[in-house]
Amino acid sequence: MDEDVLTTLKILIIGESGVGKSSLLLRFTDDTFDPELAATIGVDFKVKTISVDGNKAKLAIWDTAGQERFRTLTPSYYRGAQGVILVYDVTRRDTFVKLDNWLNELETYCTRNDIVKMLVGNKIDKENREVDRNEGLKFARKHSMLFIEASAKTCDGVQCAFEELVEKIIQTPGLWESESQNKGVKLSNREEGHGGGACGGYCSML
Amino acid sequence: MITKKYSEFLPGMQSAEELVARVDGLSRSIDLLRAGVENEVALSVRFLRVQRDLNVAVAEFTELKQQLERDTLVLSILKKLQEFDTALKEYNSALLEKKYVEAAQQLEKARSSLKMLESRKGFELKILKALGTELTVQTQNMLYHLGEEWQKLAVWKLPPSKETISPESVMHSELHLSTLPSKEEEIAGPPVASVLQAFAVLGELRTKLKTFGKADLAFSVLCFAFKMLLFVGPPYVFSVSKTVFSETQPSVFCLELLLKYILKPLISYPFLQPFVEERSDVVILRFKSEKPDLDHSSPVEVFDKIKFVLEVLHTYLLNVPVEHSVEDKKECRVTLAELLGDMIWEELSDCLIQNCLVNSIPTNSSKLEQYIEVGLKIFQIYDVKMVIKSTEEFEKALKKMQFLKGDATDLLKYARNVNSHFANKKCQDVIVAARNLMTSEIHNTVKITPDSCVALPKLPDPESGDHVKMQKTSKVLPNEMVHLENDSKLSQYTFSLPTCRISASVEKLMELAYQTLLEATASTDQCCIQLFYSVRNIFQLFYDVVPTYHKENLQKLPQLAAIHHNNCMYIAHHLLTMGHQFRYRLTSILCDGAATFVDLVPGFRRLGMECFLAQMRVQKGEILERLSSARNFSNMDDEENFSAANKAIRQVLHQLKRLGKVWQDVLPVNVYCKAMGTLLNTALSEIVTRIAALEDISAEDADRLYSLCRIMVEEGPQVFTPLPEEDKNKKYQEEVPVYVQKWMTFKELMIILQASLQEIVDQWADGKGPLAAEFSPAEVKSLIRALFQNTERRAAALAKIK
Repeated sequence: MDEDVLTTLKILIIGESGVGKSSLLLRFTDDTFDPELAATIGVDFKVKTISVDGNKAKLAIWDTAGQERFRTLTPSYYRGAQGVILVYDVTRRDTFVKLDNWLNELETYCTRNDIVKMLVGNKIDKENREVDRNEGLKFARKHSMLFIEASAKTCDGVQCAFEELVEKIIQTPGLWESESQNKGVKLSNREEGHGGGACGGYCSML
Repeated sequence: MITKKYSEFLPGMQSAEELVARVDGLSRSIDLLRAGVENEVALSVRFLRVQRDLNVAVAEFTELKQQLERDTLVLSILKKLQEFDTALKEYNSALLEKKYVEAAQQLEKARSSLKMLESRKGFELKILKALGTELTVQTQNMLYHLGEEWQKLAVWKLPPSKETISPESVMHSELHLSTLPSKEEEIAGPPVASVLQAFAVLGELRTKLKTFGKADLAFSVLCFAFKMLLFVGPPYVFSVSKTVFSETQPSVFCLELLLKYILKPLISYPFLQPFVEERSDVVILRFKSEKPDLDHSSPVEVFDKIKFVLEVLHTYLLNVPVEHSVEDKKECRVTLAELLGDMIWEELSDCLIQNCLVNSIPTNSSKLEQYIEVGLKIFQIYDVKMVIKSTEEFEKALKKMQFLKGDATDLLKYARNVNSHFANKKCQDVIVAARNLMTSEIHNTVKITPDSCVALPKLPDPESGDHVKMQKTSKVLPNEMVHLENDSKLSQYTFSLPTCRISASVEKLMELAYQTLLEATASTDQCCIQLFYSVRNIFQLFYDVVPTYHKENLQKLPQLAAIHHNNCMYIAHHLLTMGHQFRYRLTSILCDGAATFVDLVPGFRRLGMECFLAQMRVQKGEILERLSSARNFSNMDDEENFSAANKAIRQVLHQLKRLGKVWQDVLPVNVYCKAMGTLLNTALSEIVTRIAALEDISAEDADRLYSLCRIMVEEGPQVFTPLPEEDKNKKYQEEVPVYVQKWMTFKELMIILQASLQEIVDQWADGKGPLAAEFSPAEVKSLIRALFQNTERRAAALAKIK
C-alpha cells in the first residue's frame, strides 16, 4: 500500500472562522473549491501523501473548526501535531489581529516545542485586501514562522504551503524520525538530539 | 494393879472430863448459833413481806397516775369540745343577729378547735366526725346567709341568650349595686362591710382548708367564696337568667360572668360605653352604644373603660377597707380587691393583649414609631394607676383600687416590648407567607432573563439604596476597565443568571425576602436583627421544606426537577449579593460581617444540583435499560434482533426527545445542552462499547449497524431544542459534538463500519489520525478482525495499527 512512505506527519490547520481553512485543505487534497462551503463542525480529517525532495510523507491533516463555540473541542487535536498551518484572511484585518490568540492557544496545548508553523494569508484573489503582505511576513518572522500568501480559489500557493511545511518538518531533526522508526527513547541518539533541539534535555528525562 | 489400873484409868478419866467440858462449850455455842440463825431468818422473812407491800403500793400509784392523765386529757378534750360548742353557739346567735363578722370568727374558732382535736393521734372519737359535719353545715349555712345578703347588694341582669355573645345581647347586661342598707341592717352596722369582712375571714379559711386536707370541703368553700366575690351565687343566677350552668365548675363560670359580660365585651366592642346610673338605693352599671363604626378600639379607650368599671366596683362595692383583724393570725391578709385582681387579672390581661394590644400593633415599621409614642403614654397612665407607686398623685388611687399587686406588670411588659411584638408578628407573618409559597405548586413558572432578574427595583420604597448603589458600581466599573486597557470587556450580563424559568412562588419568595430586609433597614435595632434572621430562616426553611415536601414529584417529573434546580440557582444567585446590598443599611450589630447570606450559597447550589443530578441518574438508568434490550447489537442479520435493536434506539431517541421538550425553555441553555449532551453521550457510549465488543460482524450486520448508528447521528442532535423558537435551535444542534463527548468516537465507529481496510489505515494514520484519537489499537484491531476475513491484506492492515 504505502510502504515507501517515509513517515506520517500530523498537520493542524487553525485560524479564525471563515478564513478558508477547509477550502485550503480541499484544494490541497481533492483539488476542488466550493465557494459556499459550510462551516466546519468540530473537526475534519484528511489523509494525503506528498512527495518532497524525493521523500514520500503521508500527511494526516486535521482541519479544525474556527468558530468560537467549538473551541472546547480543539485542545485534544493539538496532541502530537508536528506542523501547524495558521490561516488568516487578508481581506479581514480582525482575522490577522486574532493570530496572537491562536499562537497563544498553540503554545498552550501543543505537546512539543519544535512544532513547525506556517502562516498562510488566504484569499489573495480578493480585491479588498486589508492586510499587507509585508505585515504578514513581519509577523511570521517575529514568531519564527514560515509565511506564504495563497488563494484556495485560484489554487495560488496552496500546494506550496504544504510542501514547504513538510520540507521544514523533515529537516527538523528529532521531530519525526524517532517516532516513525522507534517508539520510546533512543539512548544512542541522545547526543544528536541534545545538539539538535531544545527538547533533547527533556527527552532523556521522559 | 488396881492402882496401876487406876493410874492408868485416871489420865483417861481426865481426858474424858476435858472432852465433856469441851462438848458442853460446843453445844452452847451451837445453841447460840441456832438462836442467831433463827433470829436472822425471822428478820429476812419480815423484810420480804415489806418489800411485797411496797410493790403493791407502787403499782397502785402508777395506776392512779394514769387515771389522772386520762382524766386530764378527757378534760382538755371536753374543754375543746366545749369551746367548739360555745363557738358554734356564739356563731348561731351572731348569725341570728346578723353579726356576720363575729359569726365568721366564731366559725373560724370552732374550726381551729376541731382541727386541734383531730390532730391528736390515737383518739378516734366518733363525735369528731359529727362535729366536722356540723361545722360544714354551719359553714354552708353561713355562706348561704352571706350569699343572700350579698344578692341584695349586687344583682346581675343578664341577656337572655347565652349561646353567643353579640354586641346587642351584651347591651342588656346590667349590674345593680345596692347602696342603702335596709332598716334592720342599720342596727347591725353597715352590711356591706360586715359581709365583706366575713368573706375576708372565709378567705383566710380558704388557705387553712387547703392545708387541712379535706379537699372536698375546701373546694366547696372555695367555690362559694369565689361565687360570692364575683357577686353571684348559682341559685340566683339560675333563677334569674336560666343559664345552662355546669355544676362542676361553678367558680370558672362565675369568673367568666364578670369577664364575659362586662370586661371582655368592653375590649372587643369598641362602641360599648359603660355608664353608671345612680338611684336612691341602687347603682346600675350598664352599657350604652356609641360609634358602632369602629373596628378596633384604641388601647387608650379600652383602658379608660375598664378603669371606669373597676372604679365603679371599687367605689360601690370594694371600697370597704377589709381591715377586719384576725389578731392571732400573722399571715398577710389578702384584701378583697387584690383577691379579685388575682383571679381575673391573668385572663383580663391576656384578653387585653390578644384583643386590643395585638390589633393595635402596627404591621409595618412606619406606624411603629407612632405606636411607641402613643402606646407609651397609655401605658404610663395605666401603669401608674394600676401598678407602679412612683407617682404620688396616683398613689391614692392605687391604694384604693389595689386590683393589682405591685409586681404584676404583664401589660406593661407587653406594652414595653412593643418592638419585639411587632417584630415577632412580622416575622411570623413572613415565615407563614414563605411557607405557603414553598408548598405551592412548582410548575407555575415565570421566565427569568438577565434584564428581569433584579427584583429589587420593583419595590415601592423610593429610598431603596440598592438602586443608587447599583448605579454607582456600574459607573465605577468601566473606569477600571479602561485602566486595565483590556479590549475584551465583560458583557453586562456576565454575572447575570442565565435566562431560564423558575417557579412564580420562588420569585415571590425572593421579593418577600427583599421586602422584609428593606423593612428591616427602617426598623429599630432589635427589630432589624429579628427581621434579618427571619429572612435567613426563610432560606433555611426552603432548604428543608421544599425537597421534602415536593420529594415525590421532584423524583418523578424531570421538568419539576429542572425548575427546582433553577429555583435553587436563582436563590443562590441572589444570596450572593443580598447581604452586600443591605450591608450598610442594617443595624450596626449586623454590619460587622454578620449580615451575609453568602454562607447559604453553596448549600443552595448543592441542593439544586443534587436534585437535578438525581433526575439525570434516573434518566440515564432508563436509557441503559432500553439499550439493554438491543441484544448487544449482535447478529443484526437476524430480523428479530435487528428490530429489537432498532426499537431500543427509537425508544432512546423518543425518551431524549421528550426530555428535550420538557426542559425546553426551562433550563438555562448551557445547562440544557450539557444535560442533553450527557444523556445522548450515555446512549452513544453504550452503543460503541457493545459494537466494539462484537467478535464477528458480517457485511450485512455492518450495514444494519451503520443504519442504526445513522439514526442516532441524524436524529440525536434534533433532540437539542433548548429554545421554543425552532429556528434558533439549529445552532445548538450543530454544537452537539461539543456536548457529547463520544460524538467523534461514534462517528469514527460509523466510518469503520463502512470503510475498506485502506480507509481504516488512513483514519488511523500511524496513530495520528482521528481513529487513533478515539480508539485504542486493541479496539481497532478487534473491530478489523470482526469485520474482515482473515487475509494477508488484513494482516498488513493490522500490522499498521500500533
